[in-house]
Amino acid sequence: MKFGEIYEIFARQRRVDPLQHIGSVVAPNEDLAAAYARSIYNEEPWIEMRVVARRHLIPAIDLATTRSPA
Amino acid sequence: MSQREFQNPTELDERTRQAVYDLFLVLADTKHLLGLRYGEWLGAPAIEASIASVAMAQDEFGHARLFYGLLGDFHQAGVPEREEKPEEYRNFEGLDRAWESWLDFIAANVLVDGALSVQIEALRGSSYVPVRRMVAKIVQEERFHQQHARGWLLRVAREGAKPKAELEKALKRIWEPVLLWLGRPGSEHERALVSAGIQDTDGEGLRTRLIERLGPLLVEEAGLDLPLSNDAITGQWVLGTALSWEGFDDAFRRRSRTGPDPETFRQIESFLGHAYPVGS
Repeated sequence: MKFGEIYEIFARQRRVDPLQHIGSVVAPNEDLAAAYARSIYNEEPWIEMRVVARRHLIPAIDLATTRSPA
Repeated sequence: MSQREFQNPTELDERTRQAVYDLFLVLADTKHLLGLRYGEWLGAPAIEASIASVAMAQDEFGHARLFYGLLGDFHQAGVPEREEKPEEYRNFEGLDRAWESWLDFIAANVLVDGALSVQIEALRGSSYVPVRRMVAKIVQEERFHQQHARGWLLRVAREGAKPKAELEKALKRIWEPVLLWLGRPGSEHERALVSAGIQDTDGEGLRTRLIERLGPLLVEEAGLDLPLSNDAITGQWVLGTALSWEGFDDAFRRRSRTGPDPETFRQIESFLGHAYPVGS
């Protein structure tokens, strides 16, 4: 991909909340993924936000082998 | 280092009061101008980069406002207000005019914002209580700026020989002024700030901290050719060239008193009185 790869963004607003997926961003490296995520998804008062390259998410159930529901 | 705490400039001796005022005005003007420059890059190479630039501009304007806000007490304590004309502005000299390219943006993001962070972090345990209170938030926001700077620096440095050489040129244009900006060794300003416990080290100490951060990033990771090397015996990063202090003004932290160019000064006039206009 010309501008980098897809990073998934996880965040939470309170300590008792779990980290939840809030969106994604395309960036050329991890630092820019974090910088972009922080500036683009800054509407809520997050106490924690993390980004991870989509390719680093380990498939447990893979879309390619999942049967569509009838 | 003094264990005393100061709540108000009237508690400082005259020499220290002036040095602290000079430091805050340098920080306010530099952050103000850096915010302006960041904000000019809404046309950054990618939409995400545009948004990040404007977010950093917003942070810098906020920090500038905090530092301008500290000056009122000094004026009440008898420090004269500066005249609002370009030659009285104390911004870092590399911010006087608009940047020519995105590479100048990256160079300033790495070096100018990096030097500002080092200077402000040295105020974390400051004996001047009003500044100590606001440092934590600024330092936290600056971490995001450094992440952005690092991300772009590495992206361009790894893009090929030509972009890397151009990036090197952009860094070298402001390299020496940035290192000078942290303060002249042995100056009266330095001695006043350190002996009163306003900041935790002198300009030489700040420079050491900055190059210890820059060395691994610029030389080792990005492979850039800058006058900076790692001493094989001590393991410390050292500057390869001596700094030229000729013409350096300790109160303004710059070598010339020209200030922002006319175009820039027109833009910042709305900031006069250090308040944001709220409509007519």
